[in-house]
Amino acid sequence: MKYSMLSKRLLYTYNKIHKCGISSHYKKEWQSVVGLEVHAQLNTESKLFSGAENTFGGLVNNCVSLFDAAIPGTLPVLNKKCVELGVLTALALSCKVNEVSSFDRKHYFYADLPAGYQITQQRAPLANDGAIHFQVYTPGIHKKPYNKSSKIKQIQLEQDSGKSLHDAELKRSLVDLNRAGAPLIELVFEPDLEDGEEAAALVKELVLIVQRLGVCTGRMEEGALRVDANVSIRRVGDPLSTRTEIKNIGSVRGVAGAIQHEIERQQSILENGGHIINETRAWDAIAKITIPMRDKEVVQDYRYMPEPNLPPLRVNLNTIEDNEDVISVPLIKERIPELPEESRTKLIAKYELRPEIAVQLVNEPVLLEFFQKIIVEKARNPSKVANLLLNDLLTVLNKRKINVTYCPITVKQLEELVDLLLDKKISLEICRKTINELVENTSFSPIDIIKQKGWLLITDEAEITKNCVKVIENNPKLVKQYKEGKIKVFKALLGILSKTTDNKLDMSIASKKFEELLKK
Amino acid sequence: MNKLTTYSIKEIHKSFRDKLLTPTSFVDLCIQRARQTKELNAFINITDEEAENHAIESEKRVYVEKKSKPLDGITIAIKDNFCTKNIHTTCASNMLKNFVPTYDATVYSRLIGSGACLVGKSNLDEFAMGSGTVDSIFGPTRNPWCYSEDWRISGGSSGGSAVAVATGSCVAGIGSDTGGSTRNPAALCGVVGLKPTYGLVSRYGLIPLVNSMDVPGILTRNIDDLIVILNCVAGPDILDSTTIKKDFKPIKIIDDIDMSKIKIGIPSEYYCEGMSEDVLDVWRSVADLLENEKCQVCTVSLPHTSVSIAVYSILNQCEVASNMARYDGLEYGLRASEDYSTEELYASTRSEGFNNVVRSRIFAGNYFLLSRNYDKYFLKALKLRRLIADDFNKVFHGENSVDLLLTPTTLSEAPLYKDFTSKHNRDQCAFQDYCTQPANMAGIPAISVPIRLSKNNLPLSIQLMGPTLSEELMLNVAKKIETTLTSETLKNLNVSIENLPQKCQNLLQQAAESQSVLEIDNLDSVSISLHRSREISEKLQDEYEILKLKQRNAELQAKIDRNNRSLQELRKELESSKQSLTRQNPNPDNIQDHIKQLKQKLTSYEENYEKAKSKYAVLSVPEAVLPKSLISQVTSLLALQEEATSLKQRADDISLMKEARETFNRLRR
Repeated sequence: MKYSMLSKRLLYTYNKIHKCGISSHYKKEWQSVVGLEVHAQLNTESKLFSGAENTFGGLVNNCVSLFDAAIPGTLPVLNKKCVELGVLTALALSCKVNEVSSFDRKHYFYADLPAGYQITQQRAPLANDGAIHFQVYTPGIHKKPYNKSSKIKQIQLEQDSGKSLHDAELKRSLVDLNRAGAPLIELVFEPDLEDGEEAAALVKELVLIVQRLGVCTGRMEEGALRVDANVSIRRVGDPLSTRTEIKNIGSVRGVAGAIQHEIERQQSILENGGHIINETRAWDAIAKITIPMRDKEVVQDYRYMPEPNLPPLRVNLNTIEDNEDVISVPLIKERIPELPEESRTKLIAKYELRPEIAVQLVNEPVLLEFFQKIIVEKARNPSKVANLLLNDLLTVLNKRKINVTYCPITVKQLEELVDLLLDKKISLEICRKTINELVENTSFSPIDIIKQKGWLLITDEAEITKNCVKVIENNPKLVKQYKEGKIKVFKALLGILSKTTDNKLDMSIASKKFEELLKK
Repeated sequence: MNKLTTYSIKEIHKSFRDKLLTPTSFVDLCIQRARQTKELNAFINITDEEAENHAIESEKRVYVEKKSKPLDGITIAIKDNFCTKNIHTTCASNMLKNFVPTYDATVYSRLIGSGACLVGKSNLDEFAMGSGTVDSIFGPTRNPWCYSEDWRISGGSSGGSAVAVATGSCVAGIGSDTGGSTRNPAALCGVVGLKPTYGLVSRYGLIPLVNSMDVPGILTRNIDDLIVILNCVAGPDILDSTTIKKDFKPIKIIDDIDMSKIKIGIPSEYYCEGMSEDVLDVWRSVADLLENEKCQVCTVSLPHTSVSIAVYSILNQCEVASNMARYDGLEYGLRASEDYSTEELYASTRSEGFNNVVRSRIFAGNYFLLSRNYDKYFLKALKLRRLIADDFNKVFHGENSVDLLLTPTTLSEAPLYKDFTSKHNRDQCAFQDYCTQPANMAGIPAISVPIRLSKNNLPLSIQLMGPTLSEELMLNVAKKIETTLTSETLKNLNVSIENLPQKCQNLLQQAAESQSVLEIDNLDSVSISLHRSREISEKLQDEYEILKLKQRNAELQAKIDRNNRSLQELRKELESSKQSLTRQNPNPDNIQDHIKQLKQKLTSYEENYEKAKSKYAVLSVPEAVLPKSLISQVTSLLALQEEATSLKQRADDISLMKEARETFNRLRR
């Protein structure tokens, strides 16, 4: 009996350990490694090597020079402005700008690549060895922001391709060359990231930086900033598995979703004994899965060759002498504005905002601008202002699907609203309601709306006392309990008070008054 | 007066000023010459319309605005791989057979901007890949120096431009030079051919072969003309980032150049197997000549010369593979009918559009550029290219440096077509470009200068090479060679009538007598001299015609002037008689006399006019050939005739009036 008990016990322990082993196996075994390559379209008037207009949404095939269409005999002429923007970005990301860089031809046949090659910088890029520091914080996923950084291997200048449109019904392809030859910078990051959220946070930070620098619109929905992600996984201590590449992800949340999906997909393949093939995949943002791209099944040999029509690109690293052919790097360095990381530090130090609030605020440049205006104009409580912007305003805008950039409410209206709230003339809930009204009716001032709707808080003591007395009279049981020492019921009484008065009482005055009355 | 083929730009401009020629008449003559020599196939497209328009512009500037430009009325041929707005630019390839660019190459726009007149787009090897001008979809170009069944090649790939210049269809030809494509045909056709320093002349609009070696080349009949053309096209161009940024200083000929200060190097490695005895002879004789002119001549060494051609071949094919990638049939050029898939379309378009030479170079180039081969071939070739350039650097700037190098241009005289085509294009290029391509590898300037005729009566030339941007010195020395030779051996080259063999003179006589153009087809006797004398007779005939026309013009003009004057007098008299008739009581006898006089004068005028007309009729020159001034004179003659008729009618009226008056008087009486 004793023996069987013992063996049972042992079996139980064994199972427990075993199970534990398995579960820990599941939890700890996989480690994912993510590296990004980001293409950012440079915000210049003309293209990288031609005088054609560089614009989004132009009339089809209307911004195309002879060179962009690869007409024989035409030659590239480097747009100095693109070099400046490239160098500015490189400096902002603390890269080492190379005194001499050069251009290469990358060959592949595709209908939207008229020359049969793309001019890029493969051997000697514009800049190397930089880093990007950012905060990872997604409300709902992370409790607190944490610091992360990724090294930048290189930044290179290159041409964009045109766009192909496939008409499946008529079985034909159409080509728009407006984008062909548009200037891009490609930023190659080291595989320093662990998951989709980190990658998304990096991309978000990068968007903010290029917007601050004015080098790129950062509009991912227009393709102005496109992300390729390399994903591989491994068991702790093992070498990395074959990596896959997800091409052209077009939004920040897409980056998080695509990488997360790819990690899970690779895990399930490996767990089921399969193996991963080195392939290029695309992110289906609707189905939320990655799918293999058919046209790039075969590994391409790009047959790189130095571009013979462009002399080496030289920059002046030492002096502020600037001329037609050689731009001065120190001169560009002076043009770097305040960057997001600095803004966050300042917000935390100067206004004592919580880190997550600072992150969120900096992530919404329009709200940050509102915040700064509202704070600068008059000393107002920074945390409350930030909360109003991030919680109330953003919630209303999101509900109505209005992009923050096109927020219809003016700073002046917001200031008025903030003051009403801080002076306790309205409650937070009324405030939210007012914002809702303002979005619909931008011509009114907040106070007009509030007065019109009769939402102003009652601060008149007599009125408050009258209401308090009414509650005391109507709830003898609770009052009795309170008087017997159950202080907890005070909150319930307050609730009843605010409910019966439609939230119109200034509760800070009311609660004092109420307490006084109860203690009588 | 000089023959059309030996006119220099200076002489042409002088005859414009002396009104012996006008830009339009000269351009007409060149176009005519281009037509007459059609059998040689120098031109893919004769652009008579453009030529005429350019000539009219020039004529306006020269005579009306009195502001002439350096190349006014100067005819040019442009190799058909330079883009010309609204004019077909084919590269002699099926791929671009119907390609009409919408822009001008810088070289072309600078020439036209300087007043030049485009006679036509000249023939070449497909995409300039070759050294014979035999691989063109429009057929090979033939060498004008030996025309028979066993004809000789013109050299290439700018053979069309060289032949056009040699035959006098134009004053200057533009070629491109990647491995010798300008100097090679210049040497074989007996004209001057310059490959300038890489980056001195813009490549914008030149459909590339090897971007890092291509340079527009110039072909003319003499050094002076070459300098005029170079001064018009050279200099920085913002459209070509590889042009030298420094401003270009026009090149001048120094009359009293001190030759004793010039060091000439003879690179020993340029003597190679297969070099003909004739060529060696010329090389030696020019070295002697320079020594006689007190130059310091010494032997130098360029140790990497022998590998140069292999390196050239690899780099050439790699860039070709890359440059040809754009011909996919989508944006322009040939598009095959195959549309099963985009890949299919590419494949069949490129297979139909390119000849074997182009396709094999693309294939080889792509092989060399594969990432696994890049270091093995392309990178090594680049390193060797550096060594070759260093060789030149040492020779020009190192210890015991020399100023210029003297080498042959080609290894032999112009080969027979049948011999040339018996070998593969690649082997031919390797052989033909042996002496010329190192200059392209190093980017230095080089010039081919014709020296004398070989035993087979074919031109032989030498090459001068100099350090980067040494064009001025190089051209001055070339000029010195040219002038020294003109007084001696070159007599043979610029064939003059006195030196012609008796047989040719007889033939010339015959030709002059019959005044008919000899058909090339009738010349089956296959004799070199026959062909040459025919050419000369044609040239002479041209000049004879021009002189004759000019004389006639003068005579007719005088006659017309005289007639004009008498007509004016006649009109005055008529006017006065008419006035007297209406104003005063008329004297019938007076009027009778007047009428008689007038009638007499009219008859004499008519006689004069008939004479002038018959004299003009004797001139059996087709109207198109007539200078424009003559045509205008004929038109004014016709107008005069009309006036005369109206005058006659008036005289009749007067006589009628007179009769009426008489009857009236009689009745009154």
